[in-house]
Amino acid sequence: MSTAPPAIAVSDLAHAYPGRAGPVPALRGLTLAVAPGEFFGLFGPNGAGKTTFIRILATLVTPTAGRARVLGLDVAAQPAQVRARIGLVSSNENSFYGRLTARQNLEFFAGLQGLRPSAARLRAAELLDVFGLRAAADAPAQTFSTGMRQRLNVARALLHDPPVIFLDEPTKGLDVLAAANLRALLKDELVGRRGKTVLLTTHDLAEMEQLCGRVAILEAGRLRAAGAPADLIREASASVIYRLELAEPAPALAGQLAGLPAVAAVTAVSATILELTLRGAPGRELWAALAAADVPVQRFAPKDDGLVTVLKQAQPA
Amino acid sequence: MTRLLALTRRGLLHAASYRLSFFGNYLGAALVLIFYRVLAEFYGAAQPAALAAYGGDYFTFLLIGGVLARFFSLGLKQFARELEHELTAGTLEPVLATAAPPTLALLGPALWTFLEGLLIAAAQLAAGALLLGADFSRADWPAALALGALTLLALSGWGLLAAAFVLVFKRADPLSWLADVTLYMFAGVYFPIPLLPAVLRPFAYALPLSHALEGLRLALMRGEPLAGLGRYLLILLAFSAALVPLGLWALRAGLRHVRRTGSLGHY
Repeated sequence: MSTAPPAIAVSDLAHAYPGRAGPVPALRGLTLAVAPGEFFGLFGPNGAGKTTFIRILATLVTPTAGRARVLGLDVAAQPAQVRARIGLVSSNENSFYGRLTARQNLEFFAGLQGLRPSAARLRAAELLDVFGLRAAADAPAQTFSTGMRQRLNVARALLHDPPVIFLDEPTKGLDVLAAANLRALLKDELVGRRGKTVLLTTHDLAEMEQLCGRVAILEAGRLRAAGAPADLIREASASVIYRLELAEPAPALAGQLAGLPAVAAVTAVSATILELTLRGAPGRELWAALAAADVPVQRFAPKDDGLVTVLKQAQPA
Repeated sequence: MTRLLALTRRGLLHAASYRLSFFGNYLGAALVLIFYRVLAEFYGAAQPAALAAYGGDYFTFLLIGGVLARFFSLGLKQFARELEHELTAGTLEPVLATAAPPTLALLGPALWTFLEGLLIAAAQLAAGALLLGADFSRADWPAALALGALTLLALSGWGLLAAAFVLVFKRADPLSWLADVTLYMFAGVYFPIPLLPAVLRPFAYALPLSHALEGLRLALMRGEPLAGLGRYLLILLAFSAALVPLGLWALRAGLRHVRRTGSLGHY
């Protein structure tokens, strides 16, 4: 990881929304940092606090406690300076003036960002090109498909060329192909070509693994794990549950496997299916024990793949 | 300046995209002049003594009251109306996430309507004078402009309060209703305030628009110079000094509230 000062740094960040029965915590003492130029992912179930986190960084929500800094600027004390340096892609696809064309929308937001009319026109035209919207540039935004609106949404975030971009579930509601196209565009344009620091929230595991150099997993407003997706998967594999499917019942096998040092626990799901909680990757002893078993093994594999395991482990029992 | 231009242009483009309503607005502005003329003809010579202070010309009296009340009512209602529209359209959050100052982002969407309202009011007064016989031959225009600017400022203070109300409670209805009733019932738009029952007159004079219309009619119909309008200027200045800071404070407090509660995007 870079030794440069972090592009995003939060410490003990907390936020609670008012509720009828008292404050409802959305973030509880979150501390993390994102390096300049990093593509950082926030991953977690619904209600984990991901969107609240992005809205705090975008100065749309005021934190209840703790500090958040973007490029060294405090989001609560210096919101105007922060907003000049960030681009926000919200998950709300209906965030344009529907009766205005894509070009008019982009020129308007460019003007709000302080670009002069001539510069706004040029910038809007350039981004409409980059995001494949030139042909539809003069059509009302309300006639756009979800995929086109999301591309317009990303283009809007880049109008003033901010160094930091927040993407809140950018592929939400997109079909597989549109999502893949947008992901490729995000990776190539934002980080590859423009060197932006990107903070992404998503529910899509493949998206997270494909785009993000590092990931933080939030659960109920708390940071449960953080690191490179591959590392998190490897760490999760350290105590991963494997599913063993046998061709026929083998009553003695569960006892034999439970005695092995690599096996923390064995649960019989049925007469022919066992779940093994391992202390690490399956070792030679375990493979040997399975090979020596009297019954043929039909399948032996992790119960969940990749970040699903990480996410499940992040959740309290 | 760039941001003001962007907001004004956006307002124009949005308004013009509703073509029928856009042109209907201008047609309505023309038709209302004919309505005022017909109404003035209907009353004919039976004009009350209360009009004597303005020279007894009911058409000019009505034209000034109707046209300017409509324009000034924008100050009362338009900030809230535009803000409500931004909330329901989902555009408020992206606008507030830009580098534009939040107060400008919240109030700016009303800019085009104010500009359009000003142009329509000027055109109505001109058409009233050139085509329908309104008499502005003695008008002191600089005095009227100064009084008009102060009136818009005073009413905008109330408009800021209405916008803060929308930001927090998401609906403008209660304040909008109140604004309409107070404007057209009590402010002397269609008749001189002394014609109101005595018990209602204090309510009328509690409104800045009542003083504004009185002062403007004196400036436009009798040519009263600024020096002779001191009472009206002072009253409007007092309303502005009280309402504008209060409105700005309410708007900022409203913004702090929605940021704290995370309800900025709610509607």
